[in-house]
Amino acid sequence: MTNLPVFNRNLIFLTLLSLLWAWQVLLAAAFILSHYPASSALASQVLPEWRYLLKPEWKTFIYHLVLSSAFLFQIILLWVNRRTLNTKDLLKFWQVYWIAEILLTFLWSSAAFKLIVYPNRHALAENAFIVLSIAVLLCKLFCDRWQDWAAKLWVALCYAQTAPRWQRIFEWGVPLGLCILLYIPNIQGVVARNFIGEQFHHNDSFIMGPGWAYLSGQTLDVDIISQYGIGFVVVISRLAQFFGGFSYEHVMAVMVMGSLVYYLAWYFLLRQWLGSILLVSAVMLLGIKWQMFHPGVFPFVFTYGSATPMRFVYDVFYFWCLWMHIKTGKKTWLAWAGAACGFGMYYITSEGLYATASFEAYILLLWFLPVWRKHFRLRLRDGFLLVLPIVTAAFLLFLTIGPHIVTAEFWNNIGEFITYFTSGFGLVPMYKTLLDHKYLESFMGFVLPMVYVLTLLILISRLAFSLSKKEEWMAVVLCFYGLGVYHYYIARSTGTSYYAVILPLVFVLGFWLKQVIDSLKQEKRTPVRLVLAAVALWALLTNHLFLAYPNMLSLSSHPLTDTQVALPLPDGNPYFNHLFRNFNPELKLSVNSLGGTQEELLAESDFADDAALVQYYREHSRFTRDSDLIRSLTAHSEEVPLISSFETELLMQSNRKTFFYYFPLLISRPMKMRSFEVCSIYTTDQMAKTINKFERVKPPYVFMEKIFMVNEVPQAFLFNYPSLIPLINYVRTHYAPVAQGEYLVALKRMQ
Amino acid sequence: MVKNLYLWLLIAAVLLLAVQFLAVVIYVYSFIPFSAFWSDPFFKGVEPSRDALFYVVFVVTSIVLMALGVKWVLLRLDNSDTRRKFKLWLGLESVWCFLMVFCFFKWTTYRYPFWNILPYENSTWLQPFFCVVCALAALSKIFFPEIERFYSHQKSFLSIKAYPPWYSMALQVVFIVGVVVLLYIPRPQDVVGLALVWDQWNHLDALAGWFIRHGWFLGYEAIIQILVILAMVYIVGLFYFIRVWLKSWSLGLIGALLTIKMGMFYYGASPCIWINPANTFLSHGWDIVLFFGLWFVSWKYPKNFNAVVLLIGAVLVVGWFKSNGYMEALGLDNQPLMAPLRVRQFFPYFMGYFVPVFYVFNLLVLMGKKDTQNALSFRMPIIFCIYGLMIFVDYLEHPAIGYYGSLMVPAILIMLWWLKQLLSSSTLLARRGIYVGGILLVTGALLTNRLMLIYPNSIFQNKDRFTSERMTFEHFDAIEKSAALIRQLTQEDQRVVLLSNFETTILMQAHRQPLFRDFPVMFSSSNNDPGGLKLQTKKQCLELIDSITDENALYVFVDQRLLALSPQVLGNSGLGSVLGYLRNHYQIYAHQGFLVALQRR
Repeated sequence: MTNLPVFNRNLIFLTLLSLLWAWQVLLAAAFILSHYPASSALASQVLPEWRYLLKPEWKTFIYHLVLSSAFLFQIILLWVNRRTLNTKDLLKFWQVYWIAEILLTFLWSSAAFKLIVYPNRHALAENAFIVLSIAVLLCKLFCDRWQDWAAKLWVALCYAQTAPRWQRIFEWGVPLGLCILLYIPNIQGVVARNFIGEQFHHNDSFIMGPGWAYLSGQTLDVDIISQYGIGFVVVISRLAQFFGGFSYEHVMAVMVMGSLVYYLAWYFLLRQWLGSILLVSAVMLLGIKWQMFHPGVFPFVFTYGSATPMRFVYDVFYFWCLWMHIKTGKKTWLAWAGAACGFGMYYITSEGLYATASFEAYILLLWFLPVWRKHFRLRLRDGFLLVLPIVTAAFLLFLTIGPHIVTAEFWNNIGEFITYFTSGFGLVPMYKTLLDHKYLESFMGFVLPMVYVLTLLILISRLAFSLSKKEEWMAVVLCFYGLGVYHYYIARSTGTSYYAVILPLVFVLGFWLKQVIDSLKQEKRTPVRLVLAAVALWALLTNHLFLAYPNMLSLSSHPLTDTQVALPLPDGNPYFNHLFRNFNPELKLSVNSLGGTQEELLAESDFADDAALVQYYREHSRFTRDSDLIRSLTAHSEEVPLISSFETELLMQSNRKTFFYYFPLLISRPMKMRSFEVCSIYTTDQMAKTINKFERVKPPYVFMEKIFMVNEVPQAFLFNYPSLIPLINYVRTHYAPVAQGEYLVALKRMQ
Repeated sequence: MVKNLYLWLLIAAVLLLAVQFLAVVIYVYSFIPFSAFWSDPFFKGVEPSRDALFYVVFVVTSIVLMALGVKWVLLRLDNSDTRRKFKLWLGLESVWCFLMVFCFFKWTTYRYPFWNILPYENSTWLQPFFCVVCALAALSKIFFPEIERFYSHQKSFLSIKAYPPWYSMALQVVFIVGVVVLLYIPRPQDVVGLALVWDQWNHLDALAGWFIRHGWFLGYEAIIQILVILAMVYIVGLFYFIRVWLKSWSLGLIGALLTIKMGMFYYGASPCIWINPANTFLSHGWDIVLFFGLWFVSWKYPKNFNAVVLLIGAVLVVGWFKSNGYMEALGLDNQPLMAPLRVRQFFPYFMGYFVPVFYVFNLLVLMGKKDTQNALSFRMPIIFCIYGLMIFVDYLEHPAIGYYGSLMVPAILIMLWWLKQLLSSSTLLARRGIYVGGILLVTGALLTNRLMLIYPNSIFQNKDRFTSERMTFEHFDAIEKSAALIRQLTQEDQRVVLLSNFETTILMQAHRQPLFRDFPVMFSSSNNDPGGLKLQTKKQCLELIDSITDENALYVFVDQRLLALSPQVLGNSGLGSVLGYLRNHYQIYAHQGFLVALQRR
């Protein structure tokens, strides 16, 4: 640009300004005219059979208006500035105003974009559009002051950068801001939403089922499946117990607080590594936006415990230890990092393995690169560090499951789900997003690992030739770790699920941004960081999932039920009971477990506010009569075969253990529905294992929903519930009803 | 000293090789069946995939290649000659890498078509193409010294200041032959059959009706051939126009190929563009004459240029009103411009805005830059921008996906003009290199386009592809008796009043001209329903009735299914009014085929 002649530079500047104004005319005209339906002179002329084709719009008028205004603006600007077109003053005087116009037009266009893309929830975007319209007008009104204001702002920034008091405010203000952004005051409300929204489906299988079994004295992956690992169940359930008892509310609170602490710990680590508060703030905001507020966790990240930072919460400790080793060179920190990886394997097996792989890659690289071997004084005996994670994991496993650690049953069970995944169970091909026309998602899915690989190749080569500082090792390990955790997306390439494990990439991007910023002139660095932080903040604050997040900054006093912010499904239908709302009515049974026909599939609009939602949850999640029934027929030490929705909640209220290894057995649906549930027994092997246990243990009583006692079901049920029907048939062949609760019936084994 | 640049070069090479290796691995694995690890699942849709394996293969290959590269290659890059060769090698590898990834993209889109309306296409060419690319990629690594020598020879060839005249002659001959080979359709009955099955010739009838109105009873095959010839003439004309305007054969070639690609082979035009010829550049095909004329005026009579342009502009606006174009501007058959955005079609949506912004930006810049020295050279681009903005109104009214492509001729001309301006100060070699790259890219895009690959020209035709459509057409004899009835009751020079399904086809066979100015007035249907009235306004409907009254026609021929429609079904529709008029003034005289002949009372 600087090579262009002054005239051409000024001309391009004026042309862009004309286009910018013309674009503003377009936005304003489209918005104003959208309130006045267009009429057509043809309305009385068109024959009745073609009237459906008559859809008059303002767009041709707007098209001509915008074209005319662009020419008009250009003529005016050229005329007004005709004497300065060949001087550098023109650009110098107007550049700040020009930048302000670009920013405002961008924000204004983004509000218009949201108005178009989300026509069924346009209120927020419309308000933003109106506010920005006023800002655009004011911007023009004060067009000659921008230069002066920018200078004053710059002075203030320079002062704030150097004044210790302001530095302290920024230093602690950012973490405080993170807490305000992420903390959820109404935990019971979000649990109530999970209850009615998706019937606790995801969190039941992730933590509540295994957590309850563990606290009841059952052995994980021996008595009950724990799909993700063992340690996280122990940690989360014990913490919940510590906070007041194992319940949905306390587990939710642990996940929220755990995520908060995780982000804060990373903030302080990044402050050490990347330096600038503004840059770190930008990185953290971007990380939070991508990791917690992406479409894959609709409508709320904590609905899917396995997609929250609780999945890899320990990694911040691992990287802190690594950072300390890089800084100080003390091997003790390396040992702690190895132990953290071992804890990781114990905590969630897959993530721990990836962390361990990155740790071992780090040690081996230090070992193989002579410069760094010398620098960190690595000896042969340090090879023990390579086995330290495995030893730690084995030790922690032993503490948790005792002698089962040496049984084949335990290792076979551990391997079961891994084998399923490696042989295709639940996998989604990587080109799925491409087929769904989601080109950006598809592009990102392929490009993200390329960023890791590229960074690795560059940094390892640079480190090998001593072209880099030792701090770059942090990025190398993050890349190895990121490549590992990216398997989450490789296996299940659904939509934007790569965002669930995006954090290592965000930190690596932060590292690259630091490199770019450091290469700029000193006076340009702070404005660039400021722009980055502002863009990250804008991206977060305009995200619909964030706007629906029930934190203290929520725009609504009842964000869980207020349709202004609470998100409906992408097709506009309510989120509450969404899994069952479209159940084919022809396939429904005539009555539900209560003998009635009302299913009570309520939507957000059926609740006056969040308090009403919580009240509903309290009333409908208490299964007193059914838990009394279970307690009356079974002893505390007994494993109870329960085939029902909300089986975890029912067993927790009855204070009994589960009988089934594949627990939760059913994917819950509202109790009053006139249909069956999908069973989480996926293969014939699993079915045989379940029936064998029935045959071996011969439990005296089985409890199941009354609706399963119906004698005739639609043929489609055999296809829709292929594992539940044989299980119910088995129970009904070997057991006879003896007592009833509200929703449940107790069956006794026949001799 | 190891420099960062060498490292970047090496990393680029590593990534290119790793991607190539991965592509070959995925291809080989596609022949190896999955082994079953576990018992039958209860739920369907479990598809084993090897994504995790391929992921690991890519990561490990990259790291291993990098380690080898650092050990064996990096230090050699210190030598400037080695570095030069290495860059050439990288360029070559980029081409192979691009082609391999391109094959996978095509595979995915063929296996799961984005648009489920193309049952004719097949991807059999991809497998041999991929194998050839792999073989070439391997050979290029082995015979790189020879390739390097060949490249040096080509460089010296491209640096020649002026080529002998026979070179340009040969280029023109090759181009014209190429256009003929690409666009000529040896078996037009394939397209006619396709059009019959696809939309019962409803779109093609607009043109066929024009011929019949003027007494030329051409068959659909002949009409298709005429369209193809017109397209060839247009493309060749455009090529020569760009040549004389921008004085570059290469730019002419790029422009012409790009126009074919964008104007004839976009998804809105599937399965074959000639089913709806209004969606090609031929809808504004007269503009090539305009371009030549304006260029001639600007060259020969520069002082009269503005007056000529104003006159042409006025004629165009009047012509637009006369052709009922204003009806669409008033909202008839309108589609919202943001429609593609709501269905997440970001690229077409973006283009819908980008194209006019591109024209306006150019206009504004040219406005500012125009002065006494350069005023003449800016005239043509300014005219193209204004013309482009005018015809783009057509897209604003019908933002069908990809339709902007057929309106892009002015934009292509402007882009070529900018390309020439940008490269005016570069060396001859660089300029020619970029032009050659552009030609290759555009040719590749055109020849691998999915619609081009099913276009029934002499290269891509397949005798089995449109068999059923061709058979339907060849056995379409339902109208023979109806046409015979018309021949029987009317004289050869008599204009016929006909309201029927397939009225154009009937008149073609009957060798009679229609009475109506807005012919064809009906749209056809392949089902048993009688079609409907095509006229959209009361004015057109009244004109039709008036023309019957004025002509005082003795016989009127009507599809008997139309007469069977009850007043309840017809309601107060335009068709109801026309049939009402006929019932009042005519009585049934005879019927044959599916036509009823009504005689004036």
